[in-house]
Amino acid sequence: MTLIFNIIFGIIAIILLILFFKPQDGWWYRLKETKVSRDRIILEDILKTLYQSQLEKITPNIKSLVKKLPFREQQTLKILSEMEKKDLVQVLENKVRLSPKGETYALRIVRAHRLWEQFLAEKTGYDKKDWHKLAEKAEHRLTDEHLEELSKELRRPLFDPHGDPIPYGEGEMPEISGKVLASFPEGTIGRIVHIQDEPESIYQQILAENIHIGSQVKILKITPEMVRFSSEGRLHDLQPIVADALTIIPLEKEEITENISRLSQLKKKEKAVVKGISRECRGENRRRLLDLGFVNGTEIKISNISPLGDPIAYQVRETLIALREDQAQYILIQKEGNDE
Amino acid sequence: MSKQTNIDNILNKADKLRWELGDNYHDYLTESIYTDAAAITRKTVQQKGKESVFNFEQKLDQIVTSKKWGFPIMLLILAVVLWITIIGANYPSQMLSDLLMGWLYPLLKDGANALNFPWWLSGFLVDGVYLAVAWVIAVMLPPMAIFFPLFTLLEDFGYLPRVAFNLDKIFQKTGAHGKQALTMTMGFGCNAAGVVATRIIDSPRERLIAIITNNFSLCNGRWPTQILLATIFLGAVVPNEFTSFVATGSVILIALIGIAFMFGTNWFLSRVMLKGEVSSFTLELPPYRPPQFWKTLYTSLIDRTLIVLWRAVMFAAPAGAAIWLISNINVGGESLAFWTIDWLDPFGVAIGLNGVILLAYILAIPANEIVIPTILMLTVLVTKDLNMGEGAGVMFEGSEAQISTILEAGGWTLLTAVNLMLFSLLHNPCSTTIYTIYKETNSVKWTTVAAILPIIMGIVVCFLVAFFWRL
Repeated sequence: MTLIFNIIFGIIAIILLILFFKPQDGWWYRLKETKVSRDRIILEDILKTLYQSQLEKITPNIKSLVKKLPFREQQTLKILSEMEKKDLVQVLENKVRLSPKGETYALRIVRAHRLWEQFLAEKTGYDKKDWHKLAEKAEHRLTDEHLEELSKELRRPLFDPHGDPIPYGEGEMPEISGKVLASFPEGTIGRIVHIQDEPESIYQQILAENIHIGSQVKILKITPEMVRFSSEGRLHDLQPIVADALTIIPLEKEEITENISRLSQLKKKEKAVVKGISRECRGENRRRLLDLGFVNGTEIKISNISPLGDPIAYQVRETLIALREDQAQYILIQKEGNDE
Repeated sequence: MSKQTNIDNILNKADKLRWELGDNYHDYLTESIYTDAAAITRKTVQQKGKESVFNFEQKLDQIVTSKKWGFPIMLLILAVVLWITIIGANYPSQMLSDLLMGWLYPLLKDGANALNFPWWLSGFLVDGVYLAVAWVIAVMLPPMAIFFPLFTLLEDFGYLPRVAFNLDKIFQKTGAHGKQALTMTMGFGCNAAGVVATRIIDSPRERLIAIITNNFSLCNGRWPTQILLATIFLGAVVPNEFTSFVATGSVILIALIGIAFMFGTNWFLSRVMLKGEVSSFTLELPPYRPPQFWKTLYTSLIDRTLIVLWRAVMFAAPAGAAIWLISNINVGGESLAFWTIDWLDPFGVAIGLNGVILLAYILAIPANEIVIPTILMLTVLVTKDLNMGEGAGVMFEGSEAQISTILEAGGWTLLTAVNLMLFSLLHNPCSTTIYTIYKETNSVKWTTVAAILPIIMGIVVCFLVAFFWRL
């Protein structure tokens, strides 16, 4: 009895040891690898922070920079001085700036981050709320060849899923237009072109409101306490600090589609016409919906509802297609009888 | 201007213009193709006389997916199908068994003797290889030949997608696809066929989940084991008039535990192991149509039943050989089987089973059908009761009373029976299913996961049950 258990434990121990010390993907190797590249992560995070400050037209001093980063002060300072030697940053009167070389490097990181987010959105099943964290890790790992391959695979995207431009070539950047939502007067009709995914606490609220990028919004009321607007047939009341995460461009009259709502809001016995699929729906899912005939101009109505309430079967071109609620919300419709 | 700079200029310009195209240029393109195609069909294709059929279908759909009738109808149909399968399969099973084992087996044995085969050759070929194959055919063929056509008829009629539609929300909660309800039900017939049936799930992640968890559906090779143990051991603890009630109830309970494990594993796989795999849900509810009876019968027999049976036979033959050899090769005065059981016994007892059961599961990997006969043969071999059984390496089955006597002589308790019922539910899929999983996924990794995961669960569950039982 005990002999058997000893043998079994022995085998388990050997397997664990092998797993631990396996080259390439053993745990020990990974641990070692993360230790080696930790300096690189700090360096690249410093570059990113400086680049962000530069966009916000702030020149941080050493102290505030160190404070912004989640690393130990000593370590950050050490790396910072190495960066100065390598001519990635310039330190003048205690203020830190990116050198041209540093800026190119920073843009490469930004490119890696945004390309990876685009990749996650288009080619994987990861949830929106996980993209940023995963990209934060991937950006340090991706080589130039990876980036080139990714960009090609994704058909050279210009914007990431949040609407941020992806730098290309020697650090050129597509122009972005649009301003934060609350900077427009009440009554403006616009389109959401960018949703800021940082800080996480604010992005969570945007996700909870289920606001989609590319959707049409109408600003109803702006007060110091809250911003009220409607989008795709739904009403949203946001705190101004949350609403600031949304960037919109105003729409010309002929670009506006009236009475847009989501398929998930269609009720039984109502009829509607499909207007399109939200930009928030990507990759395989988007192609599937298109394949099934959810395209502009298609008439649609509810045929039956599952006993558990979800999914719902819709009648589309004489076929019955069942969609889950989280798919139906991406299909934009115009209810009949409410035309223009 | 030189040619080269000219080209460069054009490329630069193209690059600049590309930004202006915007991000969803590809979508606009696809959308407009669809819109144009739709406009053309609307103009050129005429349809007539579909209205009344359509109305009838809608009425039917309203009933089978209604809150009130949706689930009762579903359960009723499932119960009827299972009942017809289990009851109906008994007769052909008995006939096949009489034919292959009662008539042909002694004939082959005599033939081998008449041809002066040495005892080991006739034992190896007839008692080992032939008997295992015959056993698998007799037990496996009839239920599959009844279940699959019935299932295919329902599918053909158009009812099954409605079942997926009704149940989808439950599966969605665990990260799976409603159509998994169908592959799961198919698994009650045969896991290998259930795995093949996952082809109806077109989302890669959900399909993989359905493949890996299909083993948690109690297949028809395992129903008899469950029923036998439930009758002999669990039924015996209550007064006679409740025996069949308790036995049926406990078998159903095991099947439900299997479904619970399936949902749990779905959840685990979709949240942990398969996180990030692409998932896209589509479920079309095709129009109802009268089933094509003969065609359905033919294709379900050829495509499902015979292919699965053929694979099972291919695996059963070497297993029969192995069972016979391990019982007949003697080392130091005892058979190899005896030594292996002796070695496995401490571990087996620790998880509330015994060495015989573990060895039987190792040997009977090709088909769950031969687990009980193997256990009986090995138990007799170990207890050295020469009045029982058919001899070393020859599988057999007997009446419930005989089986009960043999197992009790082998030291079985209520705990052994309960744990074997659980272990029969939670162990690696049979080799036919494992091979089918490999064929369908084309991945060694997922095949390994599908094979190892349930057996780890089985060992853990059995160990826990034994631990608390003995407190």
